[in-house]
Amino acid sequence: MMQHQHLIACRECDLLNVTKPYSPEDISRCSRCGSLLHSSKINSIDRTLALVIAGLMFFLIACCYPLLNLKVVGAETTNKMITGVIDLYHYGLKDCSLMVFMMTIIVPFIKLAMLLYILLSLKLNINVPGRLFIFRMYHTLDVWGMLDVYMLAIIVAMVKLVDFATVSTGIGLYAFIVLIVISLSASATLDHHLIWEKLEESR
Amino acid sequence: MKKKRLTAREASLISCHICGKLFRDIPVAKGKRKKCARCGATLHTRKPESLARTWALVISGLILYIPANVYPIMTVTQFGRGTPDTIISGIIALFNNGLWSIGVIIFVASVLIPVLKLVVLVLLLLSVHFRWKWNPRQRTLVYKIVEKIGKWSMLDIFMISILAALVKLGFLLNVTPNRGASAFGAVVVVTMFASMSFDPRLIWDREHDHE
Ligand SMILES: [Zn+2]
Ligand SMILES: [Zn+2]
Repeated sequence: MMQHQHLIACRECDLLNVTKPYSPEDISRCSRCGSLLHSSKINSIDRTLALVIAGLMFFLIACCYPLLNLKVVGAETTNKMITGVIDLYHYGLKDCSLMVFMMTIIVPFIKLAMLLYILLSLKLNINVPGRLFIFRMYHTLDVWGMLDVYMLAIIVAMVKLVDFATVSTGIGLYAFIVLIVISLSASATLDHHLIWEKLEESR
Repeated sequence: MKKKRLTAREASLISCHICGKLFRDIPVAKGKRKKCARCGATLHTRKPESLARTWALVISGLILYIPANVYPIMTVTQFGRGTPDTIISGIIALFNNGLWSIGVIIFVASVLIPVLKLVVLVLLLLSVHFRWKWNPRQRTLVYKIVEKIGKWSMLDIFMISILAALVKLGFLLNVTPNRGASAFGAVVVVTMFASMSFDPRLIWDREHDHE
């Protein structure tokens, strides 16, 4: 199939836009509907790789330590990210439990792991199998990762409980906040176009 | 004279919906799918059966919205007494307790966003069916907003999972999730699929046919 590297079709309106040759930190928008066509990032691979490694570390901490502690007259309970999933399951809401598990744990974790695999192999210049497939899956899964929504849910839950009991924060919550900042930065520094080109070249 | 700007389809090109690469739209053998030579995704000029699929998912979302609001989503039991709350009664209770800030947040996430999303998708679908002259640039923007905000509706479900795990003090204080939560979770997932299956390029296709 013939390639058209100087042209890019707008994802929202299908208009063909002519793009300039690649330059760092270049943002281009569709001339008809204004949607983002692509935005290049400086030093994308190094920066994103560093963030992904840090993100995975904080992910483990956020998963292993309690997020919140609750105290009412002597009695105390704590929760971790996974306990919500397990309890929904035990209360009989299996579908809800699965949704929460996928959106707050599995998808965010797999997304980070996929980026680590791709970026590390690009950085070290080794050709490992399945990278194009993995990056495609990354795009398919992207919308289903909802760490930011979960963060807001934690805040809302805390406010809601203030009336009933004493709520205090756990180590897991601090790690979780750092994780949110890291994963937002990682998606901001990831240069999709660059990665696709590099993966295609080295195939 | 200004050269007429072509869309990919008018130029007989297909762009990959995942990686964005452009290919010449050459016919393939019957029963075989066109695949992106770069990432392997199936190539479509427009999302397949976009209108029919979006209608089906929007209607499913509307139907599921009924049990999601009729059935209780969770029960807070204090000293052995507790009443199950639906989405709406939970929000009203928050306002009555003076928790305005989170009352508003939950109202936006659980009521406003899902309703707005379904209404906007219906309007977009109708606008394509009946070729409304509604500014396509505005419509594209509205579509992109609806696509972005959908996931925030999961807020209530996540909050219930946190409360159910944390508030387990037996007689003193206990939170139990109820069936309505499953229905509401299904609404969110179904409407997310609905906005994904709508193809915003259809807005512009029809626009072009007018000229
Ligand atoms: Zn456009
Ligand atoms: Zn592709």
